Amino acid sequence: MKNPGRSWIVGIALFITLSVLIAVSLNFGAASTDSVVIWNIRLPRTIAATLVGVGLASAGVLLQGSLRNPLADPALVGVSAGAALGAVLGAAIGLPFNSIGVTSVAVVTSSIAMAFVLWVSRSNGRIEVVTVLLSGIAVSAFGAAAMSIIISTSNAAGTRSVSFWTTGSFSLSNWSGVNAMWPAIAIGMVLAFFLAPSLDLLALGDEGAHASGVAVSRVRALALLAAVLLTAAGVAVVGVIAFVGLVVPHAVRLVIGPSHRQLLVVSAVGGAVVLLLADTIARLALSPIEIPVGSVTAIVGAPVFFVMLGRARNRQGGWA
Amino acid sequence: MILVAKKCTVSGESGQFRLDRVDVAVGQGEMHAVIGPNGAGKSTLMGILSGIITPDSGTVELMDSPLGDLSVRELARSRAVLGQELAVSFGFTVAEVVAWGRAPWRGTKEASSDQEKIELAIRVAEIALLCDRRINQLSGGERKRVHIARVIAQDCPLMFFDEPDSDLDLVGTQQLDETLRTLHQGGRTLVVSSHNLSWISGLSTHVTLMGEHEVVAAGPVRKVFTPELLSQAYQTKISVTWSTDARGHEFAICTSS
Repeated sequence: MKNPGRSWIVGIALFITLSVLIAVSLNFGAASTDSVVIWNIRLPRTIAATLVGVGLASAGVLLQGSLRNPLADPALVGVSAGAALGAVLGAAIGLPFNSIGVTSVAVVTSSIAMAFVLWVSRSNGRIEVVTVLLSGIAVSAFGAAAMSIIISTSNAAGTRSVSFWTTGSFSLSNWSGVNAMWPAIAIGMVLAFFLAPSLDLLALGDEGAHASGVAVSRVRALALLAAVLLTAAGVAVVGVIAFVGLVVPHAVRLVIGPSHRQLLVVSAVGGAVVLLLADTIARLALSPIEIPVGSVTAIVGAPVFFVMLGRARNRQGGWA
Repeated sequence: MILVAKKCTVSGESGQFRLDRVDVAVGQGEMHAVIGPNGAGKSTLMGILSGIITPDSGTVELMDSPLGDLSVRELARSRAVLGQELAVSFGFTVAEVVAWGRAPWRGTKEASSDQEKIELAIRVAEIALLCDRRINQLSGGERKRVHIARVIAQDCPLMFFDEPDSDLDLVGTQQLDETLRTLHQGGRTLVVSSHNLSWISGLSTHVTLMGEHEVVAAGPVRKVFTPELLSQAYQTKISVTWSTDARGHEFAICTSS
């Protein structure tokens, strides 16, 4: 609603940046630039980074809007850890990595993690902002612990170490990885696009939204399901990457306002830009050593989170 | 009667009732006040009448059909609600919030008059100067007017206002009074709760008087604003003197002793 012109300008600017980053990402790297390397290694990796960025940023928009919580991020509320545990579990029961099968298991465990966090955080019909984050910490810790037990007691995980899952990497993103993630991300984006106008009205609170014709429970459940699909699909292939879902929607909101349909579309492109940039930095900064991409996003994202946390606390008069 | 609640019970925590077998009837075109002491259950009653709270037992019928038969969206085209929650998450602008009033009409032929209805609501609620501001940067009274505009834009034949005067000063209440009278004269049925007995007695045509979780009396203003009934509901001795304001509206001055 606000500044549709500005949304277009920002959206197009981000899209151009994305195209440039894709070109850079495809043409620079440790190995030579013959077409086989580009086609079999760099292109799927670039597409994976783009898709995961779209998924995580959009999941952040959905979580924040449906929980009325500007601090929500898929990794901070435990959804990502649930997905990572699911992927490892899937491998332990014999499913190959980068397959739809592993993605499906990740979606299921990620949904369980989300449902658990919400169940714990409900109080008097409200979902408490801070309790969601605290429960997310506990769920993430549990997920990481269960995951490391499975990895250390079986050889199902192969070359994927515990740190692969906790800090994320696009190094194993091949074409089958891309194929394992895009369907869930596509479904999640379509759901999100149709839910966006109702998410606007949720800002009135549950009663206000209901009085304005929003079936609150259904919209919230579908939004969270979409967030789970968008997160789990990426995490099952590349591991947990935190803060993208937190920082990107926040930054976009500052520029184009909070209206959810525009916020969703621009954040999706913005998320792709951020992750491609982060992956390019991860690959090239200390080449030939590769930094975990989740470390790159956390280095930037964690300070932003602190600032937002301080603001939210001031607004609510402190959390005793 | 367009809105009838029969034997409605809502239980709260630890086995106590928030409403205990309450009967309420609102007639077409009434300006219907809901009054009573703190904790009597006014907001809960507003909640069940507007379909936001489903009673544990009893029925609520709108135009002779149960409220529960309507979808959330159909309900939002039948009645609008001004609640007590004024906070809006994220930095939405006033113009965006008012436009949400039209959300229930998306995809219907009524949507063609969205712009017209929004402009009218902005004029009636007198918020034209606030439109580009973010709602969370406004004062409580200004926010209230923005939400009133949103509810007017929803353009329903039945409207609920739960303590609409609670964040308003003297001038604000005067503006609100005029706004509600305008809506009423436009043929709408209004249900308004308030603690300001003088104001509401001058505004309304009918009253439901709540005591502890039940209805003490209901009917035309003059029949309910009596020392006996008010004293019974408020559990203290109340005297009532009728007076007339500058514009000729009769209102009750209620004092406890």
